[in-house]
Amino acid sequence: MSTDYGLPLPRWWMRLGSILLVVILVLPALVVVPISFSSGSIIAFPLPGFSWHWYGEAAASPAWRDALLSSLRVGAASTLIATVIGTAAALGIDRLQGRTRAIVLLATLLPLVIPIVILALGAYFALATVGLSNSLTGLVIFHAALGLPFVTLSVVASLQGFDRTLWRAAASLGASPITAFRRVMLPIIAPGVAAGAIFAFAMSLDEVVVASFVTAPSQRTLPLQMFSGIKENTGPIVTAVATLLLLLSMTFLLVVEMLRRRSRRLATASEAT
Amino acid sequence: MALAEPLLRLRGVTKRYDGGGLVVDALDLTVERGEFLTLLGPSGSGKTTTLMMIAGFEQANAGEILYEGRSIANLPPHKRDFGVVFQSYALFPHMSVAENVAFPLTLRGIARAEIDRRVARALDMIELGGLGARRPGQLSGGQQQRVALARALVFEPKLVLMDEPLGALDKRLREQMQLEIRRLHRELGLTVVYVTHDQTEAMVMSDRVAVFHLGRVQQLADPRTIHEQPANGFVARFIGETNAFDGRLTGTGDGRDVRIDGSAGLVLRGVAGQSAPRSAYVLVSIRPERISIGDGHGENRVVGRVRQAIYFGDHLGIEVAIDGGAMVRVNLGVRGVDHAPVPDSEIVLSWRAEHTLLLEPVI
Repeated sequence: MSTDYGLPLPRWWMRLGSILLVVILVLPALVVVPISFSSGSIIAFPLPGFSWHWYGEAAASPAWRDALLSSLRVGAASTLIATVIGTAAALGIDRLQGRTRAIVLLATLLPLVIPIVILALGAYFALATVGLSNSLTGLVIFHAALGLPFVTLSVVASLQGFDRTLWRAAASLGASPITAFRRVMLPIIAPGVAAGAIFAFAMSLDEVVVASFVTAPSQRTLPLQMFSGIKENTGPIVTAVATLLLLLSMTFLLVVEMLRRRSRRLATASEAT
Repeated sequence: MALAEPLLRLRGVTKRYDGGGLVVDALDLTVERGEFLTLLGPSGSGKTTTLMMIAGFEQANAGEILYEGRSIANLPPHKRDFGVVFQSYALFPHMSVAENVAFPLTLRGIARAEIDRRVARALDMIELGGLGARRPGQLSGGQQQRVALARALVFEPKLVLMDEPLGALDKRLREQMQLEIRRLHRELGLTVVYVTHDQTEAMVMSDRVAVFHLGRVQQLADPRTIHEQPANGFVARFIGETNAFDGRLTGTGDGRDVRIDGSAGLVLRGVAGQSAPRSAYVLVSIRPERISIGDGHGENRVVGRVRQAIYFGDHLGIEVAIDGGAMVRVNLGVRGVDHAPVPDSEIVLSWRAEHTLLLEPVI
């Protein structure tokens, strides 16, 4: 199914534009991929030869391993919190209408709108007040806040495709609101929840500003470790990790797309009548 | 609890929308044990809102709903134990057919083996025995609605509410399902409150019909009474086909003369419908099937000219332009098919006074 929107541009113009956009957006990120397979020890072209050396180096290094572990722990914890709160928030927003709904939706976007440095500075002071500075717990809290909009928006969107009659049907069959949510609504909106969670996790994995403000030097997350790796010039080991992260991001995108298709299939199945 | 108490009683139930518009207006209604009660009316007449209030999905602004004499105002929908069938089927798309039907049973802590047994029996009852493993999306509309029916009945609810359950099906399937629901009602001894805007459906299925209009019950009676003795002009026009004229009462007594407005002095003799019209102006209603061709079939006689004869297969309908220009529809039944009047010929129509109902004009 394709729809021609009748753009007043020749087709080849639009194709050229798309290709240009992809080149500008994606290619710089892909530069790291060939370098990560370099057999040399500096980040530069041309490559002296092919090798898996830097991947082995990254896996063997305790600093990188600790950084990965920190990132995964922070990511998992903050994603869990963001998913629970974000889903609950979406359920509330779904009941609102008109102006109230628009305002609340905007409010949930605030963490994304506030300049990250300001947020990080605020986080620094706030965590110091409650004695959580230099801790991964503090980072988890703020990553959860940053991940919240992704979950909320994603779940709000999937709730729009949820047929309210199903809720009434579940209630009429004897399901309490909690049971109806657990057995009817959640399985149907699950793709939206999962997509939001993946975005929240990817955000946490990627976030560097707040992390640099609130963590102790000994608790580097993966992006922080990459930063210092570049500053301290530890060679193509950074590019190897970066390549792995790229691969992970692409996997996330694929999974989100699969979830999107699945949720669309469920939505049409309940409407195909 | 006194046995005389009906299963469900609505008393003065009123529902207003946020804007202030009255959807249901001081409604009184009873549902007896084991009966099939249909709420019939055009869209926006308040019938579905009434059903949703019984189900507990909507709250009444005033009045009370009593189940076996006790108010259920504070009972949430999931504790009412009423089976509900929706027009959109509302099957859970992520569950198989069998899981859908098992759903209400699993919520009631019934043992697995017993659930399997009852699900199998329910699927057999709706003749979908082999399809338990399918997803709802793989079934046709009619099959889906049968599954919805099985799901709403499998936990043996005290009351079954149906909101235009056949509205999305085509005509043949609808007629088949009407009979099937009727059979289930009888065999399982169900108490059913059924909402529809289709008067034939209401006639075919119901023990009693409540005709809704403007948030009020215009008439509550068995199908035959509704059809033959409509309480007012709205019911007469909404149920079945009718010839309706505005008239003015001129006579007195039981059989009364009406002068038909806008016609050249046409005078008919009729009887008052269920409620005697209070004003001198009345709506005159004559069912097409009560009019015969030729003299001697009753006190009323008019002369007209055949405009057209329409063949319906099982009956013949003719349109007759009577003196003064009004149009009368006549249903000649199956026998008329063989003796169709010739268009443009002169024709004499006659019918009895008791079939000329004098009603309150349409509200």
